[in-house]
Amino acid sequence: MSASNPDQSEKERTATSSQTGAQLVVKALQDQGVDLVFGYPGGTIMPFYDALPGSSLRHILVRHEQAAAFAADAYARATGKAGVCIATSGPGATNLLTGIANAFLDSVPMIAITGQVPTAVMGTDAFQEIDIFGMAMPVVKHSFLIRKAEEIPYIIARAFQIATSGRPGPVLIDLPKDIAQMQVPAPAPAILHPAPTRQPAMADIADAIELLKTAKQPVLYIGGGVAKSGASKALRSMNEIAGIPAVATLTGLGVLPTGSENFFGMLGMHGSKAANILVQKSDVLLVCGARFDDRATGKLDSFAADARVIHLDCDPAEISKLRHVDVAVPGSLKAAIEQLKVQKLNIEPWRKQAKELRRQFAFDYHAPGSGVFAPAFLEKLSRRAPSNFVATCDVGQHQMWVAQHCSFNRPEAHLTSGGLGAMGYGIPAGIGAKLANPKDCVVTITGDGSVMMNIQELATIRRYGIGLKIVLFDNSALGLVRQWQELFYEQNFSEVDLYDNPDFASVARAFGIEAFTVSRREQVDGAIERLLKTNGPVLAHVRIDPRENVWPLVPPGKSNAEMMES
Amino acid sequence: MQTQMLTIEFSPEEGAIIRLLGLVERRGYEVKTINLPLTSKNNSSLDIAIIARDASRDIGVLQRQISRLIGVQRVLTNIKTNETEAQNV
Ligand SMILES: Cc1ncc(C[n+]2csc(CCOP(=O)(O)OP(=O)(O)O)c2C)c(N)n1
Ligand SMILES: [Mg+2]
Repeated sequence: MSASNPDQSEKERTATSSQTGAQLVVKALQDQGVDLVFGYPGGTIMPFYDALPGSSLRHILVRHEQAAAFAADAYARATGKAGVCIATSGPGATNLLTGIANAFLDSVPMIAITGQVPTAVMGTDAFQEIDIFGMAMPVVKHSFLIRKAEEIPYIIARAFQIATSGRPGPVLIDLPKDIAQMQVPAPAPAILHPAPTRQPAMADIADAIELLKTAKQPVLYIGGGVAKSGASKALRSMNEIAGIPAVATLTGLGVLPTGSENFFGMLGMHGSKAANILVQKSDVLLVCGARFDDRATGKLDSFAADARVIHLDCDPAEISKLRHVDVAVPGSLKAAIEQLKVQKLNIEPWRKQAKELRRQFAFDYHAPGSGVFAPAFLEKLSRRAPSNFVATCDVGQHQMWVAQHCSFNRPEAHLTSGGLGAMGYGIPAGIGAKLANPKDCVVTITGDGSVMMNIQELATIRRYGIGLKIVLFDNSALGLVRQWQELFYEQNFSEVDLYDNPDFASVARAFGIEAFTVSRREQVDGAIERLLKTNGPVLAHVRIDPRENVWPLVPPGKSNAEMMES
Repeated sequence: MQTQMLTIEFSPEEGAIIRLLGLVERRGYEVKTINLPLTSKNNSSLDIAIIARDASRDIGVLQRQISRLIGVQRVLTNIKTNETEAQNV
């Protein structure tokens, strides 16, 4: 790879005195250390695809651009590096948009490169012209429209810098075809390092420590920002000493291992009852890298109403956005946590109470009947899986069951579409995660509704022999919507019945993927064993009872104190 | 609801103005007046009068949301924001 031998690549560069814009893009990606990109070709991006063969970039041809964006997103979550996706103008670009939005809402570093019609016809409704630069604006951290080929190295370096610095996010680069084809003297490569995040102020940290010392019933509230800031280890060490009962959001799961002493589960709508009670009773809430999302807080006015709040976050715009904060610590989350040197807090009665609540409201895996009980399946699966287990989820009841019942020993073990809640994420995310870390035991957990949103990616799995394991929970329904109709719309079941699903195992086999179906409880052990020991791609089609619901649950608009149970 | 003035100093890259106005609209404000004085090549300044579309909007939050956009140098308001908040951020 040329990047590993800068002298030689320098020679090559001077030898070829001029290059096309597209060649500069390929080179710039290599200079950024990119080795894998996900994409789909088409008219205006053809110059890029012309420059691709022979480069060190490995291109994964997906079968829908949305999957390229989701795969790049998961690749980024799994590696901490920016994921790269590429599409043509018009429909290719609009197909990327959902995936870009997904990365935006979950603060994932991503570079999306789109072809654009030639500059001379931009603004004339040319064939496949769409103003993706304008369309994407609300869902990107930043965007560039390249007007000069010689600026390509700098713009790409800057895009990576923006995507990965501070609070990460997606950056769009729109590349008109004429710019990509233009021959220009090769400019020098540009490398920009991630901009350092502002250090937290000593005074803020001191205030946080003071407030924590007064706490009798503190709770540590862990969000997705902790892992994104590389602060997981620091937080674990800090809390090993402080001993504060901790809860996590959907994207904060795994920062503290699921079974660890100080961890009390997920908070929020489908959180654990213990976690929600603890937060509601807390007198000091130490919030790390979280943004008070409504799925976590329930009715905001009544959320942890008696707590004084300490908020650590690298993004000052999140401070006091939704909940008034008593002590704000904007700046590097990792630095803030490292400096938050708290002695063991004198909160033994509270810790005892917390453990009692956890015991009292522990999930029950006994279910009536002889069908497969998905929570029990998932609990077993993650317990039996090796320590490099990674779950990538789709959206629905099955997603909530994964969050509730799987054990995670690190945040990268749970890849889920949190902020956007995008059905269709699961399989492309599994592809991205498996390609990022081929030795990991990556399992996609999907539903019969969600799987159909990117089922074509089975072809991608087949083509590249990606050893992804897929568990498809088939309740013949858009289960989560069905559950809401049952509980909050007087059982007026409307357009949620998927009674005529295809035979999913046959579908998988038609794509050349090993598959099997189970429907009885006594088949679960065998199914898990087969999944775990299969090396290549494999799909387990698991039929479950359509009437099963996700419990407990905070009804929409209600306080987290008002959890419904089955 | 009260009209508030914002002055945003930014670098005039392609799309910068829609990026700014789009954010202001999306975050729950109506833009009442716009003034874009002639300025130098690398610095522009956008003066806008805005009104929140509902009472829950906090101009300090908007100010920080604009400030984090790439290419924005400074955001000034005519309204004094809550003192403690200004200190914290
Ligand atoms: C792209 C998209 N469209 C619609 C929804 C709304 N939605 C949320 S969950 C759900 C049902 C998902 O069904 P399935 O994948 O079978 O999962 P289940 O709830 O049955 O486990 C729907 C339609 C969504 N989240 N994403
Ligand atoms: Mg379903």
